[in-house]
Amino acid sequence: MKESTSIPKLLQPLANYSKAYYAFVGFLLGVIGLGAYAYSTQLQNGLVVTGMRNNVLWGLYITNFVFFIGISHVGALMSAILRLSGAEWRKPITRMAEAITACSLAVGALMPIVDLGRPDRILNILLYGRIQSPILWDFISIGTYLVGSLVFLLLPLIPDIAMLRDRLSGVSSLRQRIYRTLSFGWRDTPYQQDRLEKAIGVMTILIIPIAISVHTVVSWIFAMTLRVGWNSSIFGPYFVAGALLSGVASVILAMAFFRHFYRLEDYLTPKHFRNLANLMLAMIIVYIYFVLNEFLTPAYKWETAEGQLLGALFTGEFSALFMAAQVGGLVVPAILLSLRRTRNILGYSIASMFVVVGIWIKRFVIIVPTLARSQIAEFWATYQPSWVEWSITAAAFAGFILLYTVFSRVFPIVSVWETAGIGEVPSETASPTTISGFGFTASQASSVQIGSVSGEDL
Amino acid sequence: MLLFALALLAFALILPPNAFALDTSTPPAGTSEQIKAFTVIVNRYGFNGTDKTLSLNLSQGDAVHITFVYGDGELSYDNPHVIFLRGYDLRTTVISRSNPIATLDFVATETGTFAFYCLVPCVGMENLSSGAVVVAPRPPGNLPTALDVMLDGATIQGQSVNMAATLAQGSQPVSNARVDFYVSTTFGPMRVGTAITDEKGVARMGYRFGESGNLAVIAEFAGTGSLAPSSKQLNVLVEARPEEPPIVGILPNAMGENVPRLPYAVGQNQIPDIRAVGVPLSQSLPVITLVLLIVGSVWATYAYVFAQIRAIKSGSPPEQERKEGGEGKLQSTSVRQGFDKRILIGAVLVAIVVAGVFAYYQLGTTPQVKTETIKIDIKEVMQDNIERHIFDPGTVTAHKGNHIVLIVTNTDEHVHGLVIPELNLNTGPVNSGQQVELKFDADIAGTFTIFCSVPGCAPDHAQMIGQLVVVA
Repeated sequence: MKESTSIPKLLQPLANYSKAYYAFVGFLLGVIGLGAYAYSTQLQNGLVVTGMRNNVLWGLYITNFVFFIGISHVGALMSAILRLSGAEWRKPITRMAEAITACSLAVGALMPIVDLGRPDRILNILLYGRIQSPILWDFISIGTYLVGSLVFLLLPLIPDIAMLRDRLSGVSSLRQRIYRTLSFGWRDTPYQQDRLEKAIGVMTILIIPIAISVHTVVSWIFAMTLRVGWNSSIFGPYFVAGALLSGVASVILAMAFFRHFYRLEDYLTPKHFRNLANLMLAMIIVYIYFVLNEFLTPAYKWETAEGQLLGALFTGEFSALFMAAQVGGLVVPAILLSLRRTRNILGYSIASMFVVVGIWIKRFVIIVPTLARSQIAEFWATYQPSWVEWSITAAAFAGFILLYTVFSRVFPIVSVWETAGIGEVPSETASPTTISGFGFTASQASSVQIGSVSGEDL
Repeated sequence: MLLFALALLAFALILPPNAFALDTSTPPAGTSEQIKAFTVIVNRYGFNGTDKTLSLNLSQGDAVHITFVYGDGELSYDNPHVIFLRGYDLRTTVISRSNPIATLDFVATETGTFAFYCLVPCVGMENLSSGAVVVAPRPPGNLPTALDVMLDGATIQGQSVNMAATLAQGSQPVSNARVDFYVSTTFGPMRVGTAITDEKGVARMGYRFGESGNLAVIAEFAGTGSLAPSSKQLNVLVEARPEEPPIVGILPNAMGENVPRLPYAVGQNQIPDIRAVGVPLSQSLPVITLVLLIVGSVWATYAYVFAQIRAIKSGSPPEQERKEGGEGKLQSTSVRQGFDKRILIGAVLVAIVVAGVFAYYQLGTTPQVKTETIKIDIKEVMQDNIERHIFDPGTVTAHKGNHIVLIVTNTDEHVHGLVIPELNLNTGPVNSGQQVELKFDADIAGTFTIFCSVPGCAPDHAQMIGQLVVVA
């Protein structure tokens, strides 16, 4: 393995692949293989190999679906809002957030297909779907969002890809072809900058309502159903808030990971963590407000069927999970984010871990208890996920991490052209061209001194 | 993320131990050579008196008969219970003072520990939460068995057929044994059911082939403590479902099969079934238009962004625009006009394709329909000095294929209604002077009887009869 001293920090992960990296990828592929085996078992035997039955017909798969669609929000919402508000500090982190969006959407969108006993009938949703069915709304909105978020990720990548195309020598021909194709002939001309500015500007505005509508539609899958626990008007904003919360936590975790392993201390400073931690704390408070609204109003009235569900949640068989979601997912991180002693990168990362796990459990607690507690006690049921569901869940997380890791090894995880001047010795010719509007600055990528980069073949 | 995976694992571990017990990737062994019977008294202190963690031990393949007996008889009030067996997903009927005995019968096919508990929030519920059925695995024996499988009935897609598997050990039939039936699918054999052999060693189950073509039916016996496992495969050719002439109001359902439905009618409490395809354009157009507008505007904006990317790829403005102005103008109107033209052309092309697909489905699947309006009055007349209540006219005629608007007016002082049961049409009660419209598609030719839908409306309610004739 060759290492050129002239490789700037941001591009070193793209040029040097360590054994640990291959081992990590191998481990993830192993987990995905286990999931593939489990899925083949499910395809052969049908959904009977899962813990889902007539009553509890949604389980881990739909929990994962809602969770992944949720964390996908961060790239769109956080990145777009920070771009629009012209927050300069966001530059090193927006791409991380946008990549989380694309990777989590790709995995999340597969989950409902896994949840189908006959996935070969997926086309029937389009051919025979009823327009008044939220499933069809989901199908349309997630498809639209997936395309939008990929474009939103791609646009700010173009100058960086062009730089990789021109400067990263010694990489495989496949990677060269990818760089050539995805740089769209970028030569950093004023005309191209103008086009890029327009495209990013439009997408920045467009992606916000799309992202909000997608998670609202996901929540409507539940809220449009006349079931105790789901029959609620706050589910739209409630889900969006939870999505943003888990998304911000995911970005903090990703930042901590990359800061440590890719040695990006110059780019991901404590200030970035502090700002995001403040945002996360604010989202926790908003979410607690929603939780109070969701449970206090029905609990005050304790209507028969609602009461049975709330009893199962507060003191019954789901109480451990319920309390884990509320205390572990909201209260503990709020304390960690508030105490002076834990207001550091490690503390933020631990708090984010609690939030991510808590929100996942929260999704489970929203979905399963309502189905298990039918309004007629005769039809109450239980749900035990089978090894097949756990394996596929593990594979989904491994797939997400794999996509994200590979992305960070093929493209710079921190935008080079947007962060020109940070962590690098400014070049003599560096004279960033400022493009006004939408709060971003397009410096001339070609003028960033990145030296000669030599990478190793993939 | 790794930590998160570990946390998920921890979450998996706090679940009960049978969370992983539902693995049916290999068909479980089991026959019912012996029936194991248990009697469990259920009261507020636990099972069988005070045992809160009662365990019932079984071997795989046992036929099990558990009798639950109500044990709270001395209470002054009723304390009903419903016992649920997790994993097997079995539940008893309500066990109460009036119904003191309930049973569970099953074959212990799955191995592992399965909790049973009371589902009802009864008095003493906490003491009835930790019963367990423990099923130990049993390796199969050595005595060779033979299995034969045959089908009884025509193997036509969608039609019922009986599957029968005969299990024998030497020349002796094996009774009370579990046989699993599998049918080949796109993804390999799928277990479609399980049956227990009778005294002749025959296990039967009914099945309807959902697919056509060359399929395999497999019967599998997994062995017992003394008997060796055996299986048999039968290859069958399943004929495709015969094409059926369109029936009234067919709507393709989500499973891709055509299921006859009652005629499409918009009554007082019915919501139109709006689909992208398969229903007349008039019913779905407003919703489709709205959806296309919202989603289409987003995609049109994407098209604009794609146009920008394309412009980046070209690297320089079009020749004409370069002539028109200098650098300053590049970023303003002239460039934009160039793109607007392309977007317009693209949008028109997309619109043509969408309209074409739309028209194909709409015009191709549903004929153009005419609307036909029919009026029926419900009135009182005197016949032979007796008050009669009639539908006027008594016989109305409609034409097959038309969209019918049936206007029903009640001119009588009493409340009446109009119902055509065969067409699932009902006005509900129509007050005096009120008018109600029923809309439906006349897709079947024939004569349909009209009745009054309000029993006891008048002494001659039963004689209020009319006819709707749909002519081809």
